[in-house]
Amino acid sequence: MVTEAHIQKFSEQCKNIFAQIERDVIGQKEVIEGAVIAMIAGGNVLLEGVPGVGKTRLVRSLGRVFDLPFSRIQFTPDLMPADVTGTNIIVKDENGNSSFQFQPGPVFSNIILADEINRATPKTQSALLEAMQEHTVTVMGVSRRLEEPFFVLATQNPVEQDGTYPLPEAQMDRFMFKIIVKNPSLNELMDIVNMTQKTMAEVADAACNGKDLLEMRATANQIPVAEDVMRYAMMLCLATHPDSECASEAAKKYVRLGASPRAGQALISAAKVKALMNGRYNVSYNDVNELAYPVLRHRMKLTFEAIAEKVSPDEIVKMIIDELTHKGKLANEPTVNEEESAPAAEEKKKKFGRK
Amino acid sequence: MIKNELKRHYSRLCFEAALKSALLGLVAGFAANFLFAASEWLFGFGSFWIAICVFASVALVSGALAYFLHFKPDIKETARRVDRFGLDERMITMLEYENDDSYIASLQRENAKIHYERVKDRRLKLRISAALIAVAVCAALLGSSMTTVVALADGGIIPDGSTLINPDDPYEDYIPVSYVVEEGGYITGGEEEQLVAPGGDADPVVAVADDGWIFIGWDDDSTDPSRHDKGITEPMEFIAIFEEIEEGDYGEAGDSSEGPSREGDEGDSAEDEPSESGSESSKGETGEEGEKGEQDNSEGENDGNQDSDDRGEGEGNNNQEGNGAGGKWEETNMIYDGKTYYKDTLDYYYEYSQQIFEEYGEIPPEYREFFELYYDSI
Repeated sequence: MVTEAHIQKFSEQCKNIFAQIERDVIGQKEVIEGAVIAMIAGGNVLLEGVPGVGKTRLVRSLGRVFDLPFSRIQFTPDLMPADVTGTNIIVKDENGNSSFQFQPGPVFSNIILADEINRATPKTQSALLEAMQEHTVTVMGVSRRLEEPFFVLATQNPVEQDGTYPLPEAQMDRFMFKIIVKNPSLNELMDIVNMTQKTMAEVADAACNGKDLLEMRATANQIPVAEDVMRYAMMLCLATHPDSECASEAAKKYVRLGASPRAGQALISAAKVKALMNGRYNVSYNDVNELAYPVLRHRMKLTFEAIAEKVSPDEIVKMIIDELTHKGKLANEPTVNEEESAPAAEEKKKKFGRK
Repeated sequence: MIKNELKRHYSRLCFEAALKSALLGLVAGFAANFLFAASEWLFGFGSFWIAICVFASVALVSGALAYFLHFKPDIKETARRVDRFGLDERMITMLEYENDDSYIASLQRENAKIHYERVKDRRLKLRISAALIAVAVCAALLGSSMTTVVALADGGIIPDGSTLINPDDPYEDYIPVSYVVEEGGYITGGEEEQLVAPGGDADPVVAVADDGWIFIGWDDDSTDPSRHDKGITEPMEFIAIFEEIEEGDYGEAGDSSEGPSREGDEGDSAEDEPSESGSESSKGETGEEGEKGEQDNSEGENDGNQDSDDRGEGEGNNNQEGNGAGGKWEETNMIYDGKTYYKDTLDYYYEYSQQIFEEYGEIPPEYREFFELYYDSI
């Protein structure tokens, strides 16, 4: 049962989390927000960006801020599944008897940084599948539950594709968000350099712990979602399927395979967290629209036409949103921001000196 | 409860729905009005008042149906519209979770109400499709124009559509007048088949004989080849009768005492004797010609002047010289119709008279009268 205290605590902890992360990571507000939303919603995050933009630092900061055990796995082509999950080793007891004992791998942690995940072989990549979805690890027929909260924050480099193994669809689908980490702006870069000239040490303090995080997730899950908004979110997901009844024109042209039902779950879960983080107790169309990009961009398999025309997944998502909201495909759905918003109207009144 | 909160905006939406319904009703009404008025105009029934009544009733019914079956807003629609004031779906969520007792739902309702307070005084923009307005205007123009046309047609200012579409209909009440030629000539001047308005006049016609034929008269005993029938009140048919002139065949059918026989005549009846008919016709014609001589003479002057204007010839003088019987021997000097020569008639009678003279020693008085008249004229 969510109480006023839970709501208040959620709000305060969110502020603290962002404040602490910003001590370590300059800029990248959208990336930080996306990662935090995914963590509170219980999803895994794939961070994609060129080297040196702060992906690993962000993940490390998140671990510190949430005060959770953190494991880093550097994925390389020779990394084996056992190196991730752990394996049984033979140990001798005091009496000299030998027995198998499970030696947990780095996956047995709360936050896993799978660095350059696309450099490992598909076999090793798939070692994470069970952990990411079921939060369990099965070795030698024995399943072991991972400690909650559990997150996989993976990074990959979009540029150096030689010797990489693109993540299979099944693996991609298990990431709640794919967040694009962009290069910092000029001011951000200056701040980064200034900060790191003084010290490279990460200074973020813990803002909450694992238990708090689970409470925040439970609180966010209680956020009501209007049927209209829910339907819109689901139609957005279905619109990515070129052969569905809700297929958008963009999807028909550019998408070979659309988003799975996990996308719908992720969209609503994340939208609830986002709404609550914004001090709102209901999910809005804007929440859904904003989160559609990180939720859908890695779940669509593009057609050759899209690749040839260099149409990015984000552009396709935008086309789908535009189609759904502005072309009246959702007959009962209003157009988001169609009418002048109240704050904008107030601003206009002030500007023109009207009461 | 929430309905009370949204009451003012709900009323606004009701007003918008009423406007839309009214527009749709107008479209339907004017469409029906146009169709009905067009039918009225084309098929000529009813009056423009009926078209107006049709418009009013269809507009009213369809407007009401549109409002209650389609446009009438519900509270959910109101909440959706209010949410567009930047409320981020607070109102619609509040509405759906109105009966939820959870703390977060109540928190959501409070939050929604707080935000709603900010937009309470703002009015919803009326959203009426420009296409609907355009269609309504077009329908109004069409409907009112057609009604005006019907009204004008009712007033007799413009004709009915049926008159324009089916032009034969106006002559339905007209009276046919026929001028028939079985053989030996043709009708000139007016048409052979004419339609005349009741009480009106037919076009003047002239019966003209072909070469070798002579005009005898009309079947109504009129001998004037030209006729102008006036005051027609019933269907009429006039047959122009022509008789063939066969040279050298005069009197063959009879006992050489009879005139030229008509085709098919056997020449054995007294009525068929050319002498009698010939004398009668010559009498009648000469008598009429004698009376008409002066008229024709004067007409001849006029015609002659007109002709001289048209042709640059002195035919008028010839006519002036004519003394009621035709004038000199020229092609233009013909009897009755400008076609049959006096000479032909004269030759015919002359030969016939000579034959009689040789047999009986005297010329029948009617022939003598004709010859005298003719020779006087030349």
